[in-house]
Amino acid sequence: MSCRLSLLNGRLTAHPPTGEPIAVRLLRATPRTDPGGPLSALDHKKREVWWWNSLDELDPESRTVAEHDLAERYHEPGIVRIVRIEALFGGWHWEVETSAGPRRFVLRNPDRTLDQQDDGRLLVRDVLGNRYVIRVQQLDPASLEELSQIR
Amino acid sequence: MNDTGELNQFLVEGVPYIITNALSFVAIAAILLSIDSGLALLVFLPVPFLLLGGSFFWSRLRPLFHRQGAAVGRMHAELSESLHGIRAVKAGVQEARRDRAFANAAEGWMAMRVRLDRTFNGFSEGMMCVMSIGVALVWWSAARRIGVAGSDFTTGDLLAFVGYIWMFYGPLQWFTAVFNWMTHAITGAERIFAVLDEQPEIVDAPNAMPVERLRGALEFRDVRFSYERGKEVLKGVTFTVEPGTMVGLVGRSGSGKSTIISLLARFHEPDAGRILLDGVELSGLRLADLRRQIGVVMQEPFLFNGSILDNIRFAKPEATLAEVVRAARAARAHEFILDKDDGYDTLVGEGGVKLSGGEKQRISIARAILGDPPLLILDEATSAVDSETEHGIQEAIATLIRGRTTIAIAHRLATLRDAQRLVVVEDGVIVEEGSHEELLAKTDGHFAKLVKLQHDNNRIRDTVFAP
Repeated sequence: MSCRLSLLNGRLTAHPPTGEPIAVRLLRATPRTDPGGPLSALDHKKREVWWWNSLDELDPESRTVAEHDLAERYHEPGIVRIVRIEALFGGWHWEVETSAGPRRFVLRNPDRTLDQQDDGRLLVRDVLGNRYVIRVQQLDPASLEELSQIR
Repeated sequence: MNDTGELNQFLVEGVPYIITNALSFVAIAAILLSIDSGLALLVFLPVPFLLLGGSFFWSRLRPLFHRQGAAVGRMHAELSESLHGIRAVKAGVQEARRDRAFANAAEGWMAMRVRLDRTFNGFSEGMMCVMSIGVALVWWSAARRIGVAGSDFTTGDLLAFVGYIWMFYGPLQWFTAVFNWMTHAITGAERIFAVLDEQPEIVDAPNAMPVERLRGALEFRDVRFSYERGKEVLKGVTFTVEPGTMVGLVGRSGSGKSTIISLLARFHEPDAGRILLDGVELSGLRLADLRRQIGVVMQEPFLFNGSILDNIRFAKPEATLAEVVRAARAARAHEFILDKDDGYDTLVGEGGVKLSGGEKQRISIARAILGDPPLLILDEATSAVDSETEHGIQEAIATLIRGRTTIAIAHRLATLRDAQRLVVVEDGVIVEEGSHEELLAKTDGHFAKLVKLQHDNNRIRDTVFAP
């Protein structure tokens, strides 16, 4: 019998077959190489509550909740143009246009928060944990010029 | 510059220079001869002097270039050392001393640079003088023939000659430098090929046996070894390890513990004695098969620049995700991996720079668990992590060693408490063997003394660094 998922007081909650319901974070084991692959639920102490080999193991109701949560957690707008990158007060302030509209965010420690992928994508994680993806080869020259300050 | 760099630079810059200039040299010589062979011979007159002079000066200039490079290096080293150690410099009130050291290094560089420039300019001007003699001879000889009855030599011929002379002499002065460069590049290439052609010291014996899976019965029988002739590091080491048990190697730094491990992994061959695995001498087993049977967890685990998934799979590239997750769970690594933004796809950076010491260690343990080796070497596996992390890693190691023959080295003697037997090595000799309790009971024994020494050191450290 699988563990169910629901939204309880606005928080994603796991209902294991035995034990109390517990607030969890739903995480993909391999979000890059196999986004449809296994999932895990971790509690606030980062202990694993349950493991599913795929969404197919969830009942329809739990699956809807899980899909909604995952879409939010792994939402990753693509940066299509970099308007400006400025170094200010120890952070890198970005002003960009993304597939979801214009955004401003701050980045720290580019060595750790910029991840170059083998397929040419550049993953960006801002100070709030939001993630963006840049297809560097598709950027215009002005955006590349801005990006060159930081890479 | 190193050998490969020098060879690369010569192939990229030197070879095209030699080819183009040698061709233009021959072509211009032919043109000069076709215009007027007598005058051309006058142009050729200074050539031997240019070649000899070039060779003489370059033999002097080259060491100066090297020394100048070394002087710049010294100056940068002084500067870098002072900046990196700025707290120590300030705390030790060493600013004036460091200033003087930097000033000395900078003055040393300046003196070397002045000497180099003086020699270089002397060379250039000397060459120019010799070339000018050739030009003067042409002017002198040609001027006497222009307008003389019966001579067909014209002013135009003279101007063409003078134009060609400089194109002819120009490359000559640098030829000796390039040939000198070529000699060094060829010497460097010889050294590179000497390394590339080197045969590995340890190769499979012709009748080496393939190994499927060992039980892990290990025996060192009167093993002797020295890295340098006459300086024995192991002086007749004998001990046995039963399959599936753990033995801790204990001893001071330099006592020979790491050498025992190196011999077991067959990085070196013993000078004398035998090392047997399941009753078969190590040299009788296929080397690659033997090393596949051995898992190593080191103080500084090696992670390559890839994902966590790939790093764990390193031990078994064909492993499924389910197998990797099982190994990571056993290594107490699964949950911290999931907590990373990209889970098992998280890129660890070069050498695992994006992970903490404890995380790297747990990934290396997961890798060892996945590889499932019957023989395990733990080389200071918990010494690079803090006490809290150490607890988690100890748990992971306890899972890892279950059912495997394990040889462990640890400076913190308390971490070897799980070992069924401890072997105390001192100056290349085994001086004591027994369980933790047996050895502690010998109050005058080597192990008991080591434990007491460590206990005292810890107490002093705790007193000095107490908050």
